[in-house]
Amino acid sequence: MVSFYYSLRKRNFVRHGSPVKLLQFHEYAAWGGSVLLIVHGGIHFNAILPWLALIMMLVNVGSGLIGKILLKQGGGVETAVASENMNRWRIVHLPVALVFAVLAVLHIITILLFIK
Amino acid sequence: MKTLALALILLVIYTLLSLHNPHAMLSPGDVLAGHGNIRSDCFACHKAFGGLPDQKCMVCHERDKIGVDTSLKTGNQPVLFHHYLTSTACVSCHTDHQGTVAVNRLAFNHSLLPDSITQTCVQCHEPPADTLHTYVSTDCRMCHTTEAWNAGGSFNHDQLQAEIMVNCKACHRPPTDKLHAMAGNSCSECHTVNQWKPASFRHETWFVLDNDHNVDCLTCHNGKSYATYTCYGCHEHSESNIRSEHLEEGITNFSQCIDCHKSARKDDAENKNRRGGGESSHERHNREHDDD
Repeated sequence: MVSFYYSLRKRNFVRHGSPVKLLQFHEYAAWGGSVLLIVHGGIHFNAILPWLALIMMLVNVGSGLIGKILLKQGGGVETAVASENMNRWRIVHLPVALVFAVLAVLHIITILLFIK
Repeated sequence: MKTLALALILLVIYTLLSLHNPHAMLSPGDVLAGHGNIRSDCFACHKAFGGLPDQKCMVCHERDKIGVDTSLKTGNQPVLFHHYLTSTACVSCHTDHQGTVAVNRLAFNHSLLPDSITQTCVQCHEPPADTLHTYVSTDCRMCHTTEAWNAGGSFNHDQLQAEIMVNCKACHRPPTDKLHAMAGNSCSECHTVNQWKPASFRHETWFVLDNDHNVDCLTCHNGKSYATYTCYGCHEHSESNIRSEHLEEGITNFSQCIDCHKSARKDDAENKNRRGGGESSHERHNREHDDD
Protein backbone atom coordinates (compact mmCIF):
# COMPACT_ATOMS: atom_id res chain seq x y z
CA MET A 1 0.00 0.00 0.00
CA VAL A 2 2.76 2.46 0.95
CA SER A 3 4.65 1.69 -2.24
CA PHE A 4 1.65 3.08 -4.10
CA TYR A 5 2.64 6.55 -2.90
CA TYR A 6 5.27 6.67 -5.65
CA SER A 7 2.58 6.07 -8.28
CA LEU A 8 0.53 8.92 -6.88
CA ARG A 9 3.60 11.20 -6.87
CA LYS A 10 4.46 10.19 -10.41
CA ARG A 11 1.02 11.27 -11.55
CA ASN A 12 1.11 14.45 -9.49
CA PHE A 13 -1.76 13.43 -7.25
CA VAL A 14 0.64 14.34 -4.44
CA ARG A 15 3.57 16.72 -4.66
CA HIS A 16 5.71 15.87 -1.68
CA GLY A 17 8.91 13.83 -2.07
CA SER A 18 11.69 13.31 -4.60
CA PRO A 19 10.56 10.96 -7.42
CA VAL A 20 13.98 9.30 -7.53
CA LYS A 21 14.00 8.53 -3.82
CA LEU A 22 10.34 7.55 -3.91
CA LEU A 23 11.11 5.13 -6.75
CA GLN A 24 13.72 3.44 -4.55
CA PHE A 25 11.22 3.35 -1.71
CA HIS A 26 8.63 1.94 -4.14
CA GLU A 27 10.99 -0.93 -4.99
CA TYR A 28 11.95 -1.76 -1.43
CA ALA A 29 8.37 -1.54 -0.20
CA ALA A 30 7.18 -3.78 -3.04
CA TRP A 31 9.80 -6.40 -2.20
CA GLY A 32 9.03 -6.24 1.52
CA GLY A 33 5.29 -6.45 1.00
CA SER A 34 5.63 -9.37 -1.40
CA VAL A 35 7.77 -11.35 1.00
CA LEU A 36 5.31 -10.70 3.82
CA LEU A 37 2.41 -11.82 1.66
CA ILE A 38 4.19 -15.03 0.68
CA VAL A 39 4.80 -15.77 4.36
CA HIS A 40 1.16 -14.92 5.10
CA GLY A 41 -0.01 -17.23 2.30
CA GLY A 42 2.02 -20.18 3.56
CA ILE A 43 1.33 -23.48 1.90
CA HIS A 44 -2.43 -23.57 1.69
CA PHE A 45 -4.29 -24.94 -1.26
CA ASN A 46 -7.80 -23.84 -0.53
CA ALA A 47 -9.93 -21.13 -2.10
CA ILE A 48 -9.19 -19.77 -5.55
CA LEU A 49 -9.38 -16.07 -4.66
CA PRO A 50 -6.28 -15.79 -2.45
CA TRP A 51 -4.34 -17.82 -4.99
CA LEU A 52 -5.38 -15.47 -7.78
CA ALA A 53 -4.30 -12.56 -5.62
CA LEU A 54 -0.95 -14.22 -4.90
CA ILE A 55 -0.36 -15.02 -8.56
CA MET A 56 -1.17 -11.46 -9.54
CA MET A 57 1.24 -10.22 -6.91
CA LEU A 58 4.01 -12.31 -8.49
CA VAL A 59 3.07 -11.03 -11.95
CA ASN A 60 3.17 -7.52 -10.54
CA VAL A 61 6.64 -8.06 -9.10
CA GLY A 62 7.79 -9.48 -12.44
CA SER A 63 6.37 -6.46 -14.23
CA GLY A 64 8.17 -4.17 -11.81
CA LEU A 65 11.48 -5.92 -12.50
CA ILE A 66 10.98 -5.43 -16.24
CA GLY A 67 10.40 -1.75 -15.54
CA LYS A 68 13.64 -1.60 -13.60
CA ILE A 69 15.54 -3.16 -16.50
CA LEU A 70 14.07 -0.61 -18.90
CA LEU A 71 15.04 2.17 -16.53
CA LYS A 72 18.61 0.88 -16.29
CA GLN A 73 18.83 0.88 -20.05
CA GLY A 74 18.12 4.58 -19.82
CA GLY A 75 21.08 5.13 -17.49
CA GLY A 76 19.44 4.70 -14.11
CA VAL A 77 17.04 7.62 -14.37
CA GLU A 78 14.05 8.16 -16.53
CA THR A 79 15.74 9.92 -19.41
CA ALA A 80 14.13 10.96 -22.63
CA VAL A 81 15.76 7.97 -24.34
CA ALA A 82 14.00 5.51 -22.06
CA SER A 83 10.86 7.53 -21.75
CA GLU A 84 9.07 5.97 -24.69
CA ASN A 85 9.77 2.43 -23.55
CA MET A 86 8.76 3.30 -20.02
CA ASN A 87 5.49 4.79 -21.21
CA ARG A 88 4.70 1.61 -23.11
CA TRP A 89 5.60 -0.48 -20.09
CA ARG A 90 3.32 1.57 -17.83
CA ILE A 91 0.38 0.67 -20.04
CA VAL A 92 0.86 -2.89 -18.77
CA HIS A 93 2.22 -2.33 -15.27
CA LEU A 94 -0.58 -0.15 -13.99
CA PRO A 95 -3.44 -2.54 -14.92
CA VAL A 96 -1.48 -5.46 -13.53
CA ALA A 97 -1.05 -3.59 -10.25
CA LEU A 98 -4.72 -2.68 -10.27
CA VAL A 99 -5.83 -6.29 -10.82
CA PHE A 100 -3.64 -7.34 -7.93
CA ALA A 101 -5.07 -4.58 -5.75
CA VAL A 102 -8.65 -5.50 -6.60
CA LEU A 103 -8.08 -9.18 -5.84
CA ALA A 104 -6.26 -8.37 -2.59
CA VAL A 105 -9.04 -6.04 -1.45
CA LEU A 106 -11.66 -8.64 -2.36
CA HIS A 107 -9.73 -11.19 -0.34
CA ILE A 108 -9.71 -8.88 2.66
CA ILE A 109 -13.41 -8.14 2.31
CA THR A 110 -14.33 -11.83 2.12
CA ILE A 111 -12.24 -12.56 5.19
CA LEU A 112 -14.10 -9.85 7.11
CA LEU A 113 -17.37 -11.15 5.69
CA PHE A 114 -16.84 -14.66 7.02
CA ILE A 115 -14.59 -13.93 9.97
CA LYS A 116 -15.17 -16.04 13.06
CA MET B 1 -10.34 5.45 -17.50
CA LYS B 2 -9.62 2.18 -19.26
CA THR B 3 -7.91 0.95 -16.13
CA LEU B 4 -10.92 1.73 -13.98
CA ALA B 5 -13.15 -0.03 -16.45
CA LEU B 6 -10.89 -3.04 -16.23
CA ALA B 7 -11.20 -3.01 -12.44
CA LEU B 8 -14.94 -2.83 -12.67
CA ILE B 9 -15.10 -5.70 -15.14
CA LEU B 10 -12.92 -7.77 -12.83
CA LEU B 11 -15.20 -7.08 -9.89
CA VAL B 12 -18.25 -8.18 -11.85
CA ILE B 13 -16.55 -11.36 -13.08
CA TYR B 14 -15.35 -12.23 -9.64
CA THR B 15 -18.74 -11.60 -8.05
CA LEU B 16 -20.47 -13.81 -10.60
CA LEU B 17 -17.94 -16.58 -10.07
CA SER B 18 -18.36 -16.36 -6.31
CA LEU B 19 -22.10 -16.55 -6.57
CA HIS B 20 -21.89 -19.48 -8.96
CA ASN B 21 -19.41 -21.49 -6.90
CA PRO B 22 -18.76 -19.85 -3.54
CA HIS B 23 -17.08 -22.91 -2.06
CA ALA B 24 -14.34 -23.07 -4.69
CA MET B 25 -13.82 -19.34 -4.80
CA LEU B 26 -13.88 -18.52 -1.10
CA SER B 27 -13.83 -21.53 1.18
CA PRO B 28 -10.59 -22.07 3.12
CA GLY B 29 -11.17 -25.85 3.12
CA ASP B 30 -13.72 -28.59 2.80
CA VAL B 31 -16.44 -28.80 5.41
CA LEU B 32 -17.18 -31.81 7.58
CA ALA B 33 -19.08 -34.62 5.91
CA GLY B 34 -22.00 -33.92 8.22
CA HIS B 35 -22.15 -30.37 6.91
CA GLY B 36 -22.13 -31.51 3.29
CA ASN B 37 -25.70 -30.39 2.76
CA ILE B 38 -24.80 -26.77 3.54
CA ARG B 39 -21.44 -26.87 1.78
CA SER B 40 -22.28 -24.03 -0.58
CA ASP B 41 -24.53 -22.13 1.79
CA CYS B 42 -21.96 -20.01 3.59
CA PHE B 43 -24.52 -18.07 5.53
CA ALA B 44 -26.04 -21.17 7.06
CA CYS B 45 -23.23 -20.83 9.62
CA HIS B 46 -21.69 -17.41 8.96
CA LYS B 47 -23.33 -14.10 9.64
CA ALA B 48 -22.11 -11.45 7.20
CA PHE B 49 -19.44 -9.41 9.01
CA GLY B 50 -20.82 -10.93 12.23
CA GLY B 51 -18.74 -14.04 12.86
CA LEU B 52 -20.23 -17.41 13.75
CA PRO B 53 -23.05 -16.91 16.23
CA ASP B 54 -24.10 -19.92 18.29
CA GLN B 55 -27.67 -19.46 17.15
CA LYS B 56 -26.65 -20.51 13.66
CA CYS B 57 -25.23 -23.78 15.00
CA MET B 58 -28.25 -24.43 17.18
CA VAL B 59 -30.62 -24.29 14.26
CA CYS B 60 -29.49 -27.87 13.69
CA HIS B 61 -27.69 -28.76 16.93
CA GLU B 62 -29.90 -28.33 19.96
CA ARG B 63 -27.65 -27.82 22.96
CA ASP B 64 -29.46 -30.28 25.22
CA LYS B 65 -29.36 -33.06 22.67
CA ILE B 66 -25.73 -32.83 21.62
CA GLY B 67 -24.13 -36.21 22.25
CA VAL B 68 -27.30 -38.27 22.21
CA ASP B 69 -26.91 -39.43 18.64
CA THR B 70 -23.23 -40.14 19.13
CA SER B 71 -23.96 -42.25 22.19
CA LEU B 72 -26.60 -44.20 20.34
CA LYS B 73 -24.12 -44.99 17.57
CA THR B 74 -21.37 -46.11 19.94
CA GLY B 75 -23.68 -47.89 22.35
CA ASN B 76 -22.21 -46.01 25.30
CA GLN B 77 -24.19 -44.34 28.02
CA PRO B 78 -24.73 -40.75 26.87
CA VAL B 79 -22.73 -38.16 28.76
CA LEU B 80 -24.49 -34.92 28.12
CA PHE B 81 -22.71 -31.79 29.17
CA HIS B 82 -23.33 -29.16 26.51
CA HIS B 83 -26.28 -27.79 28.43
CA TYR B 84 -23.76 -26.63 31.07
CA LEU B 85 -21.88 -24.57 28.50
CA THR B 86 -24.28 -21.69 28.15
CA SER B 87 -21.60 -19.01 28.20
CA THR B 88 -19.16 -20.75 25.88
CA ALA B 89 -19.22 -20.15 22.14
CA CYS B 90 -19.43 -23.27 19.98
CA VAL B 91 -16.34 -22.18 18.04
CA SER B 92 -14.31 -22.19 21.25
CA CYS B 93 -14.07 -25.96 20.85
CA HIS B 94 -15.46 -26.77 17.41
CA THR B 95 -14.24 -25.71 14.03
CA ASP B 96 -14.76 -26.63 10.41
CA HIS B 97 -13.18 -26.22 6.99
CA GLN B 98 -10.44 -28.63 8.11
CA GLY B 99 -11.57 -31.44 5.80
CA THR B 100 -14.47 -33.85 5.71
CA VAL B 101 -13.17 -35.81 8.69
CA ALA B 102 -13.14 -34.12 12.09
CA VAL B 103 -9.68 -33.22 13.33
CA ASN B 104 -9.32 -32.33 16.97
CA ARG B 105 -6.61 -29.72 17.01
CA LEU B 106 -7.63 -28.17 20.28
CA ALA B 107 -7.28 -30.06 23.53
CA PHE B 108 -10.62 -30.62 25.17
CA ASN B 109 -11.05 -28.12 27.96
CA HIS B 110 -12.19 -30.26 30.89
CA SER B 111 -12.59 -27.22 33.10
CA LEU B 112 -15.83 -26.55 31.24
CA LEU B 113 -17.32 -29.66 32.77
CA PRO B 114 -18.96 -29.93 36.18
CA ASP B 115 -17.24 -32.00 38.88
CA SER B 116 -19.85 -34.72 38.63
CA ILE B 117 -18.47 -35.55 35.20
CA THR B 118 -14.76 -34.89 35.65
CA GLN B 119 -14.59 -37.16 38.70
CA THR B 120 -15.72 -40.16 36.72
CA CYS B 121 -13.43 -40.38 33.75
CA VAL B 122 -14.81 -43.68 32.51
CA GLN B 123 -18.08 -41.99 31.69
CA CYS B 124 -16.41 -40.66 28.59
CA HIS B 125 -13.07 -42.45 28.34
CA GLU B 126 -12.67 -46.16 27.88
CA PRO B 127 -9.97 -47.40 30.24
CA PRO B 128 -6.98 -49.09 28.59
CA ALA B 129 -7.21 -52.85 28.44
CA ASP B 130 -3.50 -53.47 28.98
CA THR B 131 -2.13 -55.50 31.86
CA LEU B 132 -0.99 -52.53 33.91
CA HIS B 133 -4.41 -50.95 34.02
CA THR B 134 -6.00 -54.15 35.31
CA TYR B 135 -3.80 -53.91 38.40
CA VAL B 136 -4.27 -50.28 39.32
CA SER B 137 -7.14 -48.59 41.02
CA THR B 138 -10.05 -47.10 39.11
CA ASP B 139 -9.16 -43.58 40.15
CA CYS B 140 -7.48 -42.43 36.94
CA ARG B 141 -6.49 -39.11 38.53
CA MET B 142 -3.82 -40.79 40.62
CA CYS B 143 -1.68 -40.91 37.48
CA HIS B 144 -3.41 -38.85 34.82
CA THR B 145 -4.65 -35.30 34.62
CA THR B 146 -7.16 -33.70 32.32
CA GLU B 147 -4.32 -31.76 30.72
CA ALA B 148 -2.06 -34.69 29.93
CA TRP B 149 -2.15 -38.46 29.86
CA ASN B 150 1.23 -38.59 31.54
CA ALA B 151 0.96 -36.20 34.40
CA GLY B 152 4.66 -36.30 35.12
CA GLY B 153 6.31 -37.51 38.26
CA SER B 154 6.78 -41.11 39.14
CA PHE B 155 4.21 -43.86 39.11
CA ASN B 156 2.51 -44.20 42.47
CA HIS B 157 2.99 -47.86 43.38
CA ASP B 158 0.89 -47.49 46.50
CA GLN B 159 -2.26 -47.94 44.46
CA LEU B 160 -1.26 -51.41 43.30
CA GLN B 161 -2.90 -54.50 44.63
CA ALA B 162 -0.79 -56.19 47.30
CA GLU B 163 -0.08 -59.34 45.33
CA ILE B 164 1.08 -57.29 42.35
CA MET B 165 3.22 -55.05 44.52
CA VAL B 166 5.52 -57.98 45.30
CA ASN B 167 5.52 -59.27 41.75
CA CYS B 168 7.50 -56.64 39.91
CA LYS B 169 7.75 -58.79 36.81
CA ALA B 170 4.03 -58.42 36.30
CA CYS B 171 4.76 -54.98 34.89
CA HIS B 172 8.53 -54.60 34.57
CA ARG B 173 10.69 -56.62 32.26
CA PRO B 174 13.72 -57.73 34.25
CA PRO B 175 17.16 -56.96 32.83
CA THR B 176 18.67 -59.88 31.01
CA ASP B 177 22.20 -59.59 32.35
CA LYS B 178 23.57 -62.39 34.48
CA LEU B 179 23.54 -60.45 37.70
CA HIS B 180 19.81 -59.90 37.43
CA ALA B 181 19.23 -63.42 36.25
CA MET B 182 20.53 -64.52 39.65
CA ALA B 183 18.25 -62.18 41.51
CA GLY B 184 15.05 -64.02 40.71
CA ASN B 185 11.97 -62.14 41.78
CA SER B 186 13.52 -60.36 44.73
CA CYS B 187 13.89 -56.98 43.05
CA SER B 188 13.13 -55.10 46.25
CA GLU B 189 16.37 -56.32 47.81
CA CYS B 190 18.18 -53.79 45.66
CA HIS B 191 15.60 -51.48 44.10
CA THR B 192 12.83 -49.34 45.47
CA VAL B 193 9.56 -48.35 43.86
CA ASN B 194 10.66 -44.73 43.81
CA GLN B 195 13.39 -45.14 41.27
CA TRP B 196 15.47 -47.75 39.53
CA LYS B 197 18.75 -46.15 40.53
CA PRO B 198 20.45 -45.97 42.88
CA ALA B 199 19.93 -49.61 43.58
CA SER B 200 20.70 -50.75 47.08
CA PHE B 201 22.63 -53.87 46.19
CA ARG B 202 24.41 -54.97 49.38
CA HIS B 203 27.53 -56.90 48.59
CA GLU B 204 28.15 -57.43 52.32
CA THR B 205 25.23 -59.84 52.32
CA TRP B 206 27.66 -62.24 50.67
CA PHE B 207 31.06 -60.76 51.46
CA VAL B 208 32.26 -57.54 53.04
CA LEU B 209 34.45 -55.48 50.74
CA ASP B 210 36.77 -53.97 53.32
CA ASN B 211 40.05 -52.25 52.68
CA ASP B 212 41.83 -55.50 51.89
CA HIS B 213 39.14 -56.41 49.40
CA ASN B 214 38.47 -53.08 47.74
CA VAL B 215 39.35 -54.45 44.33
CA ASP B 216 37.99 -54.61 40.85
CA CYS B 217 35.01 -56.95 40.42
CA LEU B 218 36.95 -59.11 37.99
CA THR B 219 39.54 -59.95 40.63
CA CYS B 220 37.00 -62.27 42.25
CA HIS B 221 34.34 -62.61 39.56
CA ASN B 222 36.53 -63.67 36.70
CA GLY B 223 34.01 -65.94 35.13
CA LYS B 224 31.01 -65.04 33.02
CA SER B 225 28.65 -64.72 35.93
CA TYR B 226 28.55 -62.84 39.20
CA ALA B 227 27.24 -66.05 40.73
CA THR B 228 30.72 -67.52 40.60
CA TYR B 229 33.82 -66.19 42.21
CA THR B 230 37.31 -67.15 43.20
CA CYS B 231 39.39 -66.17 46.20
CA TYR B 232 42.60 -67.11 44.43
CA GLY B 233 42.55 -64.02 42.27
CA CYS B 234 45.09 -62.15 44.40
CA HIS B 235 48.49 -62.98 45.71
CA GLU B 236 47.31 -63.33 49.32
CA HIS B 237 45.37 -66.51 48.81
CA SER B 238 47.00 -69.22 46.80
CA GLU B 239 45.14 -72.43 46.25
CA SER B 240 47.93 -74.58 47.63
CA ASN B 241 48.28 -72.49 50.75
CA ILE B 242 44.53 -72.52 51.48
CA ARG B 243 44.36 -76.22 50.86
CA SER B 244 47.17 -77.06 53.23
CA GLU B 245 45.84 -74.82 56.00
CA HIS B 246 42.35 -76.32 55.81
CA LEU B 247 43.47 -79.90 55.51
CA GLU B 248 45.66 -79.39 58.52
CA GLU B 249 42.47 -78.67 60.45
CA GLY B 250 40.64 -81.56 58.91
CA ILE B 251 38.49 -79.34 56.72
CA THR B 252 38.08 -81.00 53.40
CA ASN B 253 35.21 -79.02 51.95
CA PHE B 254 36.56 -75.54 51.42
CA SER B 255 35.46 -74.88 47.85
CA GLN B 256 32.87 -72.25 48.83
CA CYS B 257 34.88 -69.80 50.93
CA ILE B 258 31.99 -67.44 51.65
CA ASP B 259 30.01 -70.20 53.31
CA CYS B 260 32.27 -69.65 56.32
CA HIS B 261 34.19 -66.44 55.58
CA LYS B 262 31.88 -63.45 55.15
CA SER B 263 34.65 -60.91 55.46
CA ALA B 264 38.36 -60.58 56.01
CA ARG B 265 37.77 -61.09 59.73
CA LYS B 266 39.21 -64.41 60.69
CA ASP B 267 36.62 -65.14 63.36
CA ASP B 268 33.76 -65.29 60.85
CA ALA B 269 34.02 -69.05 60.45
CA GLU B 270 34.23 -69.52 64.19
CA ASN B 271 31.13 -67.47 64.87
CA LYS B 272 29.23 -69.23 62.18
CA ASN B 273 29.93 -72.65 63.61
CA ARG B 274 29.24 -71.47 67.13
CA ARG B 275 25.80 -70.34 66.09
CA GLY B 276 25.34 -73.79 64.63
CA GLY B 277 26.28 -75.34 68.07
CA GLY B 278 29.44 -77.08 69.34
CA GLU B 279 33.02 -76.61 68.32
CA SER B 280 34.17 -78.26 65.20
CA SER B 281 37.60 -78.79 63.81
CA HIS B 282 36.74 -75.94 61.50
CA GLU B 283 36.25 -73.62 64.47
CA ARG B 284 39.44 -74.73 66.04
CA HIS B 285 41.25 -74.13 62.83
CA ASN B 286 39.98 -70.62 62.55
CA ARG B 287 40.71 -69.72 66.15
CA GLU B 288 44.24 -70.96 65.93
CA HIS B 289 44.65 -69.25 62.66
CA ASP B 290 43.63 -65.96 64.31
CA ASP B 291 46.32 -66.41 66.92
CA ASP B 292 49.02 -66.73 64.31
